[in-house]
Amino acid sequence: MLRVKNLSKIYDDGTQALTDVSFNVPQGEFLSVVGLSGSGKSTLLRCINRLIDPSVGEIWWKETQLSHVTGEELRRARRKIGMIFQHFNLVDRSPVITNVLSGRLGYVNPMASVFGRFPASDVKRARNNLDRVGIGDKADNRADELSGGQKQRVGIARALMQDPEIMLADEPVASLDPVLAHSIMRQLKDITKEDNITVLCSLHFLDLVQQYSDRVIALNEGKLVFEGKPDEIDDERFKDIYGKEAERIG
Amino acid sequence: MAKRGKKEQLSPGMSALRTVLIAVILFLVYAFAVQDTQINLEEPLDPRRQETTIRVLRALARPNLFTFNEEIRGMDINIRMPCGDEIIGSQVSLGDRTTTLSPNCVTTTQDVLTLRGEGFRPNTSGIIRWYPPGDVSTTRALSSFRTDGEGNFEIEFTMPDVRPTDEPQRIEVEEKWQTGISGLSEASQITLEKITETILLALLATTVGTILAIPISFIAARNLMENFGSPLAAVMSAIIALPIGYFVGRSITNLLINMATTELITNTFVQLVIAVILIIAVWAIVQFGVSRTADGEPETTRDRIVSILQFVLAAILSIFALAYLGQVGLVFGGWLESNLGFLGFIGGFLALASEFFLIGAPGIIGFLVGLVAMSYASRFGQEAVLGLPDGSSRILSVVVTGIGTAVLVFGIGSSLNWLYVFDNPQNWTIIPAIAGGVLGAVGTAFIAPKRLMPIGFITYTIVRGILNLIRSIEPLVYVIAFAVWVGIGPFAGVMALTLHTVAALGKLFSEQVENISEGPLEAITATGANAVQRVVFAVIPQIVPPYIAFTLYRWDINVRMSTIIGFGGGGGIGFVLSQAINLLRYRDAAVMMIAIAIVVGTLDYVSSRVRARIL
Ligand SMILES: Nc1ncnc2c1ncn2[C@@H]1O[C@H](COP(=O)(O)OP(=O)(O)OP(=O)(O)O)[C@@H](O)[C@H]1O
Ligand SMILES: [Mg+2]
Repeated sequence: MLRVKNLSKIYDDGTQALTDVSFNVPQGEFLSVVGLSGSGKSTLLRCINRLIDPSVGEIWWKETQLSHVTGEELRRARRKIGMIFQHFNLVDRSPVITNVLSGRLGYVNPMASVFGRFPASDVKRARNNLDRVGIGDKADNRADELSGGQKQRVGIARALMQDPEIMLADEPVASLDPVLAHSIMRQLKDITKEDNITVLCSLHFLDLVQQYSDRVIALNEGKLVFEGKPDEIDDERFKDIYGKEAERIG
Repeated sequence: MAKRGKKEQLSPGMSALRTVLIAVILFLVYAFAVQDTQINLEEPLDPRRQETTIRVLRALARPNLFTFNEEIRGMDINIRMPCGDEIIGSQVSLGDRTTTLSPNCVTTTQDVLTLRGEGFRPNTSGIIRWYPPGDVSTTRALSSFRTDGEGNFEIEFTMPDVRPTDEPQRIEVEEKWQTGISGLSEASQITLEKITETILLALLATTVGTILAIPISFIAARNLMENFGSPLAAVMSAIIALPIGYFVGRSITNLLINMATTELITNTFVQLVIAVILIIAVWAIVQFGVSRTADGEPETTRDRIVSILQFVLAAILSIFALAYLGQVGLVFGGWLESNLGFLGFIGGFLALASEFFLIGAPGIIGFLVGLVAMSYASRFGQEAVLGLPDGSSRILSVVVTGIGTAVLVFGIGSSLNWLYVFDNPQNWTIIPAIAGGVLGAVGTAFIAPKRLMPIGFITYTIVRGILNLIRSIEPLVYVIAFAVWVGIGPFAGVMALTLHTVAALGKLFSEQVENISEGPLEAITATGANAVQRVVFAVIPQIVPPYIAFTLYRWDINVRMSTIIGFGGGGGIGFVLSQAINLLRYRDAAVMMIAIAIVVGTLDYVSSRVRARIL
């Protein structure tokens, strides 16, 4: 169970990105995070693996207080949290296999990894994971030779190398065409269900939300404005989440 | 936006006034600049100066590149001293050549003689010589000539001396012309030798400079550094650990090298065998370590201690091995140097490298151990402070900060004392250290012990500052200082250029690190990678092309700088060029300038081509 309690984030420049957000995610659930641009979705996800330090509040995963670990403990906590990104964030000039293997960096002997040596078992797993996301034949290509959809599959394979218990996905399909978007979402959903991985996935399109998520939370200007099943988002709820903003733009 | 709007609102009158004001100020600045830089017209238009300038330019235009094969052809004509009653001319023919001398005698040194030649080699220079009677060894030059397109010439001259004899005296008309290039002039040979030295000087400076600049550039990159925060106690533990680690590392290395260089084993072959055995042992230990920890099982404290012990053992054995290798290298290098003929420099290099290791290792290894100790101490300090309850962590923080401040102040005081040699050093070292320690401890009691200090940002700022300072002084200035230390010559040049290269590349490189895309770095951080892994997996792949490009660019600059660094005593082509100019040997100087132009131009072209391809 992931527990977020009274989480707030104020950036150094004074921007209040999250205000007193609390929610729980049971293990193995696929939770979508929706909200307008700037509502704090990325901030929320990044607080969980501490790419951003929360200002106030607590985040717990099982017995670990994610919000307050530091140093070695933080690294050990991070390696159990996979993350995939809207812009894939692959190392373009490295081969696909190296990108995937880098998912093991939190586990392997640091000195050996720095010299490019990974245990044979990890290399085998990297190839298996590439097969699993359907691009086993691209292992030795440079990452920048792949298409967008293929890059995101590499991103998933890299995250899977971490043996993650949680998967954070920040708009994983926002730079892909609709057909590809569905195929990637399906893959993400299937794999995480198979491995019983808890997913937090920020999304912009409600049809994706309704099709793939078990539950939804919605943010508006950093506040949690909705928490429930995807099909509970009727027209009225939709207005709660997006309406105020829409009026202001319109 | 707001500012723009305001500007546009300026009334036309105001705007015109402002333009005039700017124009007046600019005029004043330039007028003063012209006066201050002593620009004038008298000096350059002075005929004497112009003449000298033209002479220099003409010399420069005829670089002394080659030596030539020469052909000489002479013929004699007689002259009488003094003149008899009848004054007539005389004519001599030899083959196609005819020489006419009129008159054919002199009585005083004022008598003007006319010499005409026909049928000589066209457009050829020659000289006229007199063989004074009774004086076999010397000749006196009378005049020189140059034939026209038909091979004719006519000159007038007077005799420098008159020595009456009964017999006619001999005058020789000699033509001299070049039939072909026989080889390189001495200037060219020196130029070749020195330009090679220049290129190698730049190569060494660039290589060493780049190697040193790479790690520095990571420390000087804001995006990598600014997120590092540590509690004060961790920072202070690191400060305490540095000198301790340094002295321990240096002493142990010294001890090991002394043990290895005792009289016990003097046979070079046995030393070599020992070194090889030690290296195999180190390799085995490292292999064992990698295979044991690579399976990804969570580390226990026991594992950690075993790894550290392994590392220490491997390090000690490596130093031992290197100490033996160093001795072998000294002997073997010396032997090669005297037996390898012109390849002897290989042996020299081997011997020098061995010597460098044997002398430099304690300091360098001490420094490295200091760094390792720093990193362990800061990690340990951080874990302790963050792990302890508030009260105890505050006490720990106060104690450690007190000691740390004292060490820091003592270090600074000792350096100052070393530099200025104060009368009573304890006023600068121990007393301020104790005072500083107490102040630091008291101050720390009032701040939250677990607060993170922006130590990364502070380090970044200091390193950047130092780089900027070093970079702002030209290598030509450094070389003067280094020439004092290591003597005039290319070695001083290498050191000056290296220093500047480290600073310049350190800054350029770190800016490249700051320009990398954050995404991959974020992704690698999210996998739980540590700082070194992040650099290796997310930063280095992104910076390889610009690093290569900047290194080439720097090598290009260094070649250019090394051509002038000799003017400051740094060896290379600049040194001989300055000599040639000072000795007014402009034709030699011209050869050197051509060589510089060719080398710099070629390198410029090659490096820009390679850079264009990489980026
Ligand atoms: N590094 C930062 N420094 C200051 N403010 C930031 C920073 N990152 C984000 N913000 C601000 O925090 C707020 C929330 O941003 P966030 O990126 O979390 O929104 P988001 O929901 O992910 O938006 P999008 O859908 O566009 O990705 C925004 O107002 C944004 O401008
Ligand atoms: Mg976002």
